Amino acid sequence: MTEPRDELERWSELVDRRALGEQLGAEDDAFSVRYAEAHPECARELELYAELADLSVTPNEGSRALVDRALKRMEADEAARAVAEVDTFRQRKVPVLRVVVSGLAVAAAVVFFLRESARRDDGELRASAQASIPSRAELVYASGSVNVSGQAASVGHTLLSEGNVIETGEGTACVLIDPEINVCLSTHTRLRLSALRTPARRLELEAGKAATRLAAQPEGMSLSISVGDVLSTAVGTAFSVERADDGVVTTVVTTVLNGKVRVGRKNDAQIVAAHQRAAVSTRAASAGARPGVTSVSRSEEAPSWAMLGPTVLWHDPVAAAIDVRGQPERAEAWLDDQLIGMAPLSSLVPVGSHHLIVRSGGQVLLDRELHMNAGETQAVAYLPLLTAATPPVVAAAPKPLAHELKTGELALDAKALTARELGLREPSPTAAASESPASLLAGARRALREGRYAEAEKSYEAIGSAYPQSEEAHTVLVSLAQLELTQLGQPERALTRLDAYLAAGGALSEEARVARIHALRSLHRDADEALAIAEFLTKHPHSFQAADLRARLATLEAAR
Amino acid sequence: MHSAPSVAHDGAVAADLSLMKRVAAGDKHAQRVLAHRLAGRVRRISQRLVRNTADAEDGSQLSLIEILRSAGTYKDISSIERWADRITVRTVLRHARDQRKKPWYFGFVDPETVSIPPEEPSPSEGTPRGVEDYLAELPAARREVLVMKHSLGYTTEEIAELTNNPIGTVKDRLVAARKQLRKLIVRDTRVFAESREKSS
Repeated sequence: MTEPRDELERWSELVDRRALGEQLGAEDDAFSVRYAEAHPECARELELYAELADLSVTPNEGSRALVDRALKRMEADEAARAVAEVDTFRQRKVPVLRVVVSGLAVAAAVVFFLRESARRDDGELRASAQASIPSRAELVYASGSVNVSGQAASVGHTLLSEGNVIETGEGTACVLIDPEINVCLSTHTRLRLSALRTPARRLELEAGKAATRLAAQPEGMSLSISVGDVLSTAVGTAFSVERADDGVVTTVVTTVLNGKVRVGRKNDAQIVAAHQRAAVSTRAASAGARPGVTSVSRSEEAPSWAMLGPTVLWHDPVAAAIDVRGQPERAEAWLDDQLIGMAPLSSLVPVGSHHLIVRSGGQVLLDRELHMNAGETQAVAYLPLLTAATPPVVAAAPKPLAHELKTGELALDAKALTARELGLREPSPTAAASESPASLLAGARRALREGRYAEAEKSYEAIGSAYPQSEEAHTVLVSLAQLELTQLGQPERALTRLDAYLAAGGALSEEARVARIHALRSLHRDADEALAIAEFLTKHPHSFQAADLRARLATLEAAR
Repeated sequence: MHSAPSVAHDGAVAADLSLMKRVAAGDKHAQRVLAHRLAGRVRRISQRLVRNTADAEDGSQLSLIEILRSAGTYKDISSIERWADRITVRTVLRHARDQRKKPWYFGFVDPETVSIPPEEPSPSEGTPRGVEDYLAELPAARREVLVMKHSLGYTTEEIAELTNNPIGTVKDRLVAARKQLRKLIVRDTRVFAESREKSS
């Protein structure tokens, strides 16, 4: 007999194929009609597509206002054009001498006024500018290995201050500095935030390459990236600066992507325009030498633009943060069909629904819909795919277990088990009294992002202990198990949690079943692993992991 | 000899052509007639393509102006509405992308676009939602493809051309959008059924 779930999937596949323009056979057609009639959710889906196809609108206030605005705008444009034409005509008729005399008089008045007001206000303006400059700087993107002044850093909670050094190893990072300055670092780059509180912001490139894009800065403010005594300064543009050391000479290569940038030493600089590249040596002997400026092609500019690619993720100030990590590292993270970086990765992202895919070696490790709310951070963990060649994920030596139950006993009734039975430590009275499940969860995620895995485990456990009946207590069992499996080397303990989670079921059942297979494999329980894979394939036949798991099952069965 | 419907059709086509010629010649009355005829449709398409209300309104206005200015290019091979749809889609998408590309777009943020519906609606909220609510939950790329397919009836090839994307990408996005929509509907249908059960 066909499972109801399979029928729904068949129906979904058929209607999707039809939407892509495929003609269905008579039998498939009849099935899709019959199935939709019997299932309200399918009928509702078809209804929605019918609603979507309906573009008929009764004229209303909104459409009438739109017409008025559009016609007014057209009239205004036409009037402006007419005025411009008349002005051009008049200008032709005005005697040249009158224009010159009037022009000179106006220019003299303007120069006099500017000099007077500058002399009067300069001191005050400078003082007030110094006092009121916003100094917020924040790490908004980190992919791979990123440190801030020697500490591992992640996005969402890392405010930076003057003097901080951001360093990337095999990773990339972006910093957002008020007002509206984006700076992105390439791999193996070290950047010091030397001056943030002065109108002339200065960042010191100590190694590697940085690219920046900044909005037009308030009057009197600028941004410089310095390498030794060579400065690349802009007030609103996009450019990259690369430092190349050959042991004797350091060459500073500035590529201007947009606008203009002043490149050189303090008293001997040159303006470099968009699509040009300036190379200057920092060697004292070369003082006085002008930068060598050449034009660059689009493909030569592309790597600098690519460094600024992630900045599209935080254009909207209403943002959330995402944190993606798991095994293997350096897996590609794709958000809404765009590659956003390599895991471990944390970044600001726009709020709303997103589609996250994590891929490694051409295989999908995770495929999930995310719903991001303003201000929140979502931690997403992924595991390697199970193939015949996949080694067990346990990396560390198992710790002594904090519980004494055997895994097989747990499949009975998760709701009836106590916190102690679930391997959860007794609640700390302070945590239970003062912290909500949400704040404990936030603490766990923060610890996870910062690589404090034992602390993350404690916070997760505290939720189960302090709020055993809460939904969070049930959900964190999967996160805890993944953590114990991938970071803490505790597959048995992970198995206990996963059995407990699956006994009661939940939205993360698919993830829990995958983690359970990993755990059994880590424990070399081949027969149980085969059973677990068979169960997974029955419950999730269309999972993206199904093909690999089928192959793994065949290997296990052949080895029997 | 023409049949009666065909005569009527030919008459309508001729009237449309005449209207468009007058619009192209700068006839203010004809411009107003055309603008009123298309405004509601343009606005609806724009609102479905773009989630941000301000961008949708700007996109509608720019589209209507573009339609009025392009009247001279109208040929009677399709209806005025179908011809205007393509201009609307191109204009709205271009405007939305320009806005997103602006390095420092801190423009007007509509609070409605910021408040995201909770993952699990409560039973009291379990009433059937309209199509606009569902569209608001889809990422921009998926929403655009879904609207072009199901509101405007474009083929995947046409969508690929309008969005400058490969056909494979369009197909992937369409299926992903439909799947996401299906998940939301299944969830809502369940909550709606539960809330009705409770109230009865």
